[in-house]
Amino acid sequence: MAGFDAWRAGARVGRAWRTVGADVALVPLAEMGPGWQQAKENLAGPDNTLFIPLDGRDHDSGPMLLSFLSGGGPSTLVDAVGTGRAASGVDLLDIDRVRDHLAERPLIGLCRSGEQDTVLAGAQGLAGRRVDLPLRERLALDRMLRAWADLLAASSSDPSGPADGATLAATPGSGAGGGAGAVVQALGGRVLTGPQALGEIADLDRTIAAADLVVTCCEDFDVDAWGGPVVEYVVQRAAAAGRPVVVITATNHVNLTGQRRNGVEAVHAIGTGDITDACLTFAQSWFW
Amino acid sequence: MTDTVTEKITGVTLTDAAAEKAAGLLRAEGRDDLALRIEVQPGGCAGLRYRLAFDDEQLEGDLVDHYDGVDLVVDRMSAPYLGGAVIDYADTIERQGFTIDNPNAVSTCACGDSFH
Repeated sequence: MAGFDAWRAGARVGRAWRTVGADVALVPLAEMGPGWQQAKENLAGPDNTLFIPLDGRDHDSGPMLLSFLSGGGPSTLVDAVGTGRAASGVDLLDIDRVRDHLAERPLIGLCRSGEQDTVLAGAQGLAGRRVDLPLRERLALDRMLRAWADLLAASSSDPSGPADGATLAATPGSGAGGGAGAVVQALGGRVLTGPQALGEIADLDRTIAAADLVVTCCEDFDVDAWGGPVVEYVVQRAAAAGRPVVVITATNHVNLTGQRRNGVEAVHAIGTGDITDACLTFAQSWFW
Repeated sequence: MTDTVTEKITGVTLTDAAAEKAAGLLRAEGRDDLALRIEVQPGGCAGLRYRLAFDDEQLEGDLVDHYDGVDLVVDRMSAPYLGGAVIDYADTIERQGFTIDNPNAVSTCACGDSFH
């Protein structure tokens, strides 16, 4: 907001509440990208977890990711499915070798908000959603994706991995990042959005449970994006804990009824001035 | 509604009225190479939507039920969402056209074309 990253924007907002006497806990949240990396560095030092951005969109994204992690191999869906011979016992995907290379580091695939529940195959999978394609082509692509999921599941000897290809293809998040999520899950990892991953690192739920008020920020608050994925995530977590949420934004286009219907107690528009100064009066009104 | 005895390969039941209407449309077109295909696609205000159309294509994995004068076809991707669904046809003051009653739908939108 206002050109500041999550940490710096949050610090300026938090200063207003601190000025009026509140105890403030700051948790930077962001979508995957440079802002996420900065927020993670602000939150915690280096750790052992491997975070992989799942920013692909097309159906070759999964094979490309596995090829990258393997240091080579078929990097397109057609090649991977065409050359995989799991049924004959020849494992060309070598998931186990990749897992060994990761040295049991926890693995998290970072996906765009909105993709954390997408599945790899089926009517709501990567192929099913391609309504721009004729049904014949959608079905053919879906068959390839299912075959790909079968190869991924069959090539792993990890008992904590997917039971079979059908299970993997139907797991929420397997379709994230153009299907790269399925590779992460086959490797025993999880698929999370940027805010989810940072929220986990920061134990956001515990922080919210200890708070009287949750304050979040965005550039614009309107009926199209409702402040964006970070605001959406914060509202969801605060609602789960029964805590009120207020939004600090540069511009607000939503009336009080719309705010309340979307889980926001109040929105404070601050324009382009100093963030802390602009929040002082608003913070005072919420301090008791 | 009749035809409740026979197990449907597609999982979908076409009522007598719907079958008669579809067969009549095919006769009017002079086409005996078309089947009635019902498909589920992402979209609509509730998440998923139906597409009901005549189709001359036979696709791998298609499920087919034969009625008097018309075949009903469901593709492999749509079948899990349509088990137990009933396609009916009405032509009254209150309601006109083909309708789809789907027990798998948790909710539907007011237009009736989209479900979740």
